[in-house]
Amino acid sequence: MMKRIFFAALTACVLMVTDARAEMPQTDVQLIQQMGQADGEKILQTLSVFYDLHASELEVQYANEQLTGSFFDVQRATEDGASADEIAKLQKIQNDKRDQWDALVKQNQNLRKQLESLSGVEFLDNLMVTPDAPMNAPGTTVGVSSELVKERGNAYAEMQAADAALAQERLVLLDAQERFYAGQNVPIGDHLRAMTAAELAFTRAVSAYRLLEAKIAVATGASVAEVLGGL
Amino acid sequence: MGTNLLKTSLFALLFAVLTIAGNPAKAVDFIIEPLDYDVPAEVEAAAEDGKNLVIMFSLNGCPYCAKMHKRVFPHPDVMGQYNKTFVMFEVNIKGDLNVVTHTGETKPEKDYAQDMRVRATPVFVFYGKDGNDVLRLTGYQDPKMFMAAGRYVSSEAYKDGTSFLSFVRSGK
Repeated sequence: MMKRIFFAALTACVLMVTDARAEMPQTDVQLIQQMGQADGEKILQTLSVFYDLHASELEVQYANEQLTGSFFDVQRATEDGASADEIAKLQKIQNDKRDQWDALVKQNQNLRKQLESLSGVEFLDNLMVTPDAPMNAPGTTVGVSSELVKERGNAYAEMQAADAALAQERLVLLDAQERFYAGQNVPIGDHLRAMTAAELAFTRAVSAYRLLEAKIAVATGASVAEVLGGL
Repeated sequence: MGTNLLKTSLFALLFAVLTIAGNPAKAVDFIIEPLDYDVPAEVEAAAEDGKNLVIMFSLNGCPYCAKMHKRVFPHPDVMGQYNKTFVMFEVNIKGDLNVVTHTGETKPEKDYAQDMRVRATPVFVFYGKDGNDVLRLTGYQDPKMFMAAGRYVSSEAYKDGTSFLSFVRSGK
């Protein structure tokens, strides 16, 4: 009897641990770990789609912000008694923004399916943890083409610039938010959209850099998870 | 002897199961749904646990409120900090539900939002443990900024007159 309880508990434990481990990965390292014994090419292909999905989450968000902005433009123009032509123009912009948002949502869903099929992992939730910027500049690497090394150097510089721009945008937004709250006439919607655009630019830049590091790891036979985890 | 070992193993396994299942870092525990929207009572209850209260003034369909819910509140670093030090609930800026405000008046959510000069959503109002509102932030806050706001309030940096902007610029 006791043995049966023991094995039931053991089974429950294994199931729960498996379930806990199967939680949707938010980082590239978690994704590679969940993929198990995949070869280098498969990992690179999967990472590329994973980074695209990270960017896509923000593209959908940005499109939604623009759509909301265009909705308020129509509302404001109507309240201000704008001409029918003027309102029709703004409505056309709003419809275009809705179409753009629709297209990006579909693209996001396709990326999710593609990623699930490549990795064998379900991506039901939103990706929210932007890949980390590396702590240090890239070191010297032997055994890879000079072209790849040069490409990585350029990607690092672009990533640093995007990181600095995001940090600056954060302060600009905070200043705008404080002035807006104090009752000043501040285009807060523009500032908020600029922040999302800066987040998106940084996500793309850091993803490009991490993908190059992963390519170099594969080319040199190093563990991609270890290389990305150590950045 | 064998039965005792089995019992010990069983309890060890059950403990492991409960530990994994109840991992607090994986839930957005700091967001609550209060029964009566009584701000002074919530401030007091939070303070008893060593926490501060935050109110998020929000609106259905607001893209920046959705962004906070999707990208900020469930962020592991945000949860790690806010689950320990904050309690937060939402007030609908068009809502009719009665709220007991931080000054003790009872009024509909929409009137409270107006009193708090909410012109865009979301607006975050952070309350000190004494019940006074000590920081108000309008609009989306990315994880770094939202965490900085948490540190600013928890450390009571506002007490010496330091503005939040100076606090952030100093890299604290």
